[in-house]
Amino acid sequence: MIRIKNVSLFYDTVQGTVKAVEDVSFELYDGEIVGVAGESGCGKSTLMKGIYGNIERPMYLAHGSIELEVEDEQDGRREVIPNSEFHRYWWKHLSYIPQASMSVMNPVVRIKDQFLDSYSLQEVRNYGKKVLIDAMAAYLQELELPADVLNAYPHQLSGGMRQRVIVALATFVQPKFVIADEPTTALDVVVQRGILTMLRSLQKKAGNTFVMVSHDMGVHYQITDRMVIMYAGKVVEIARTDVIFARPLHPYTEMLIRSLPRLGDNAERAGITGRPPSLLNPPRGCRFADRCYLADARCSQVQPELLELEPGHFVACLKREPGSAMITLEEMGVA
Amino acid sequence: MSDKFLEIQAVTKIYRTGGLLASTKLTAVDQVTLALDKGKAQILSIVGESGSGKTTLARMVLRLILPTSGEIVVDGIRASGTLTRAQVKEFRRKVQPIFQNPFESFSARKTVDTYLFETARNVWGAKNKQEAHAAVDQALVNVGLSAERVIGRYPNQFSGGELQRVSVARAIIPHPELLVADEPVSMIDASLRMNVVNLFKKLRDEFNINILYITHDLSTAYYVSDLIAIMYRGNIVEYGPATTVLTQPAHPYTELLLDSVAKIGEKWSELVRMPDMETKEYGYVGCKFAGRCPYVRDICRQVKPPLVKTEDGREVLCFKLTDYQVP
Repeated sequence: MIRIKNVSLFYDTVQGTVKAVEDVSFELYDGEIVGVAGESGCGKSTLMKGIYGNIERPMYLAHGSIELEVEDEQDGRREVIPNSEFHRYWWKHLSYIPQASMSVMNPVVRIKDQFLDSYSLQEVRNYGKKVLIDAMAAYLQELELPADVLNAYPHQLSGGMRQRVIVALATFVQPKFVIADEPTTALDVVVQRGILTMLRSLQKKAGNTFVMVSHDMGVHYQITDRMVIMYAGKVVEIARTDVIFARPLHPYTEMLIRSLPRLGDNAERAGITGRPPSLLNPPRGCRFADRCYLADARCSQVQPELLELEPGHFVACLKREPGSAMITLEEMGVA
Repeated sequence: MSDKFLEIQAVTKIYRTGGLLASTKLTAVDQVTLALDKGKAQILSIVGESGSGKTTLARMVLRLILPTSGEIVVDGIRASGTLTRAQVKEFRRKVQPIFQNPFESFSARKTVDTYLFETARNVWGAKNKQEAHAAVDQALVNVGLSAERVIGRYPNQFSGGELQRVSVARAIIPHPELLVADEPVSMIDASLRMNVVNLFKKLRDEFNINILYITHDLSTAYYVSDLIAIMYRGNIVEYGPATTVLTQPAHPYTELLLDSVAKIGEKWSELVRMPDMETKEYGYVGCKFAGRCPYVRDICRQVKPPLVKTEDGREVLCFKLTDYQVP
């Protein structure tokens, strides 16, 4: 389990402090696929870096804590590891699938050597190079990838193939947590479907936890169990994926789902107008207020808190707080 | 004069890769024929995955590269041939591009209006500052922006959606008749995409501008286009009215594409067959989709499939429609 408690992640820049993620709390349970959605600049990638424990200047953890709870393999004792120690658990407990697979691999080193790099010299000596590479080849075959990709250089593979190799590398030792940041964004629909179904079946088999960032709500619908919706550095809604799509409570989530065209549906759709606020100097009240169809004067003054309105369904919206009248886009005739 | 506004006639583009001795041929676009009628403007989408040749086709229509064989004629001007300077100028005015990543199409060190004024002076032919200003103002209003919001600002002061609208504004300054938009929304957030896509509809309806919309996103293609062409490894495998093609696909590849869209409200079933190495498929003698097609028969691997015209106005490149017979 990963516990994220009141986390704020800031960047120091010449213009001032960019508050990329502010006061975010939630938990990642064992054995689920969690989707993180939001538009670019909402802090989702920053949060992923934080969860992965890759916090480097100019980014820093301003408040809060991120803890990894793992079970000791020998005695089954549960151990709590602070964020600053995460790097010791990379690959084995915690691995990361980055977005731009084009640029994460060294272009002049063969795939198999890059794979061996994830082991320490000591481990390579203990297991033997050949044993490790054979195991990897077998694993690739299991994922229906040709084993000879191990001998290829990254540029010899197509984008989709490369991304599948990255997924294979990241999941080879069956880490407890896999963080995937937009794993299929630059890929075609058929390849995207292949990779996502592969991720899902890997997760089912190993029973580990996947955290997946994507701005494509369709992708979330297809493979995630639970969703975290972010807007301008804040978490605005958390719920089970089916609940998010059936009954979104935050107006931003609602607009995010409704703004997309669907095949076979000719209804006119409007995008969300306006743009998210600057994170250098975020507004005092709700950050979505000036783009929201429900907002009133109070919204731009008071910061909404993330409240659990139904079991497991958290929403940060003043208009959804107990006692306020619930109106949806549909009832207003907007959609 | 023909009654076609845009005619793409049996266009082929062959790239050679490798060295002098061991060069291999790659047919990026293979005998493609498409046309747009004169009169009411239309949006024609070209949909395909990466490596399908859609961008090569777009670049040929823009006259950025010349085809190996075949003809492209835009409103009487042969884009595929040698042109005089006056014709090139006229062609550049008529046909305008919109590229994928707006942050790359504008220099980060110049204010975006530099590009707008340059287009107004050099392409549209504004004679003085007042005329240029008027043309820029009008274009910005037409895309839903305003001069004071845009002029004097740098690209990083815009969101992706806004900046892409600025590049649309730039493209419409010379009153073009054809816009070639290559993946114009794929770098833009899903929530802001619709603003750009709706703008295309408006340009078609209000200014009678034809649009060649190149994309891999089926849902926006369905939403915006009148006609759609599905490309696979250099061939157009299915072409016809967008609604028909995307609701009742006739080609197995169109079917696969539609099945693979991450839809909301309908979950995927099992694993799909992933593509072979791309370059291998280009070299297939028969149907290039044969390696992945669920309906494949021997003939598909040996003979190039026929182009079948169906009753509902489609053209489909598949043996399935002729009962696996060579017509």
